[in-house]
Amino acid sequence: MQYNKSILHYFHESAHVGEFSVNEENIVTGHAGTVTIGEQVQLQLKIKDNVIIAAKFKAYGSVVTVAVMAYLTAWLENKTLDEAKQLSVSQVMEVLLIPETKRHCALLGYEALATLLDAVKS
Amino acid sequence: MQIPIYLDYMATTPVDPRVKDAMLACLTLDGNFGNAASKTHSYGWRAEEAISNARQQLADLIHANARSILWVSGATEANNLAIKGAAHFYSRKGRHIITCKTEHKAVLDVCKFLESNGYEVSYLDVDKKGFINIDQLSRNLRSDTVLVSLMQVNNEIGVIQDIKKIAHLVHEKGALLHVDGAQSVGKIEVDVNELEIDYLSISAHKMYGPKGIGALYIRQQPRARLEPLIHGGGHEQGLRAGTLPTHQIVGFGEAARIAKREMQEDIKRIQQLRDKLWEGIKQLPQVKLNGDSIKRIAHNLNVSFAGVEGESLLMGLRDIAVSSGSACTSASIEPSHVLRALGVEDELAHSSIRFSLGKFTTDAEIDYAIQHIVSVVHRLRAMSPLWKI
Repeated sequence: MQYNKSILHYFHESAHVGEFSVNEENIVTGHAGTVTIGEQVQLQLKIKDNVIIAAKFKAYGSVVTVAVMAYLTAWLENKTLDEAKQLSVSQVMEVLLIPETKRHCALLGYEALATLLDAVKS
Repeated sequence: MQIPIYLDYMATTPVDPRVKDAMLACLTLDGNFGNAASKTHSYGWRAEEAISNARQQLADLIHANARSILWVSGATEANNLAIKGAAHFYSRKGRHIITCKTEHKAVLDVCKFLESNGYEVSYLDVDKKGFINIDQLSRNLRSDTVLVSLMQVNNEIGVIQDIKKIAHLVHEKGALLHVDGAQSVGKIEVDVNELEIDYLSISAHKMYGPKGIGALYIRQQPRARLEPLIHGGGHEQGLRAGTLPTHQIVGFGEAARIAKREMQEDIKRIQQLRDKLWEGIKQLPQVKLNGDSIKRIAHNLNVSFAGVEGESLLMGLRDIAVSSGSACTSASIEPSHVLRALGVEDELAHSSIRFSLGKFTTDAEIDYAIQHIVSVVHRLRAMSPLWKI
């Protein structure tokens, strides 16, 4: 499948790949997806004074899934938690020009963020 | 070095420059552009002569008589003609055909079509290495079996079937053998008499000839018969109508001539490069070669990479041109039917890559490819929440 430049750019982007060390403080983690569906993502945010000061991700999945996570982590850095809550699936779909058939990949990233924000709330 | 590096020679090959020159001489007013069916002037005679030479060149490559070569538009048409043509011609004898689950869609789809038209088709299994079980073939051969259709070299895993043994059994039971030789002719020595083949499909663009031309070898002694598919003009002894494309055929003939002369030398070099590529890939943990490692053409590697998702792997390998599954099915997201038949589980099948080398592959390209593949797989595995170092 031939993907557009946006998706490919984020797919090849490595700046936010990885995970924080276990000793790192103020880290919240969110997961989505399972091995059975063939896609699994992990999102980690370092939060201080309600601001996301760093973001990292891990992903096993298709090109769009990886691109979504790379986009999310890049976008989330330096946003406040309130701003992060405003993120919608449509935004992700529009910015990356994700074809409708790949909506589930955008939903995966969104779900990981949502579980993470829920954890922060509690 | 041209990036991406082309490692998809089993999908198609570039024409040899000598083939291009031979073809260019058959196009324009000052060249050999005539219609070979024009019997009344020298434009036609010259075209006919060039085509006759090309027929001999291809016949020489497979140790056949020139009269047994039929020009068609490609191996897909050759497969259609051989299977449908034989099935219809011999339908009074029976309506049972045998093929294999790992055949190309150009055979499987033809068989499905015949099934919907009153034919019965048996699909043989392969073992974990990709070989047909001769006993299973024997058990499936019946008195109403008219044709067995099997590829000599598998297009995904490069494994070579024992055609001679198969032909012997097929003939013993009174049926005919069609061999899809799209990936064998030009890559390994093929002697139609030694192998006792009745119909052989040949593809030009898999052996540095142009796309859009192929051939069907049809045994003359004893004579294998066919009902034609394309009518209208009596060309090719009434078996395949249509003006013969001189430039395509001349190109094909030249490719065959080159293969006859240079194939053995090419095989040695390609094998060394392929083995080097495999040694390089094997540095990575949890990689698996699909298909037998010995009875396999020198040009092919088919490798499963555990722990990386298939689409990401393919897109990640942006500096090399390879394929996942066969070229014809790379548009679909079904795991390869060939790997499935080998018993490879779906997830691993999705993470499999076919690398196929050719006569223009260089040492430097292989070095670069190894470094690129290792780096991409490392990156994707490190990125994965599932991969444990």
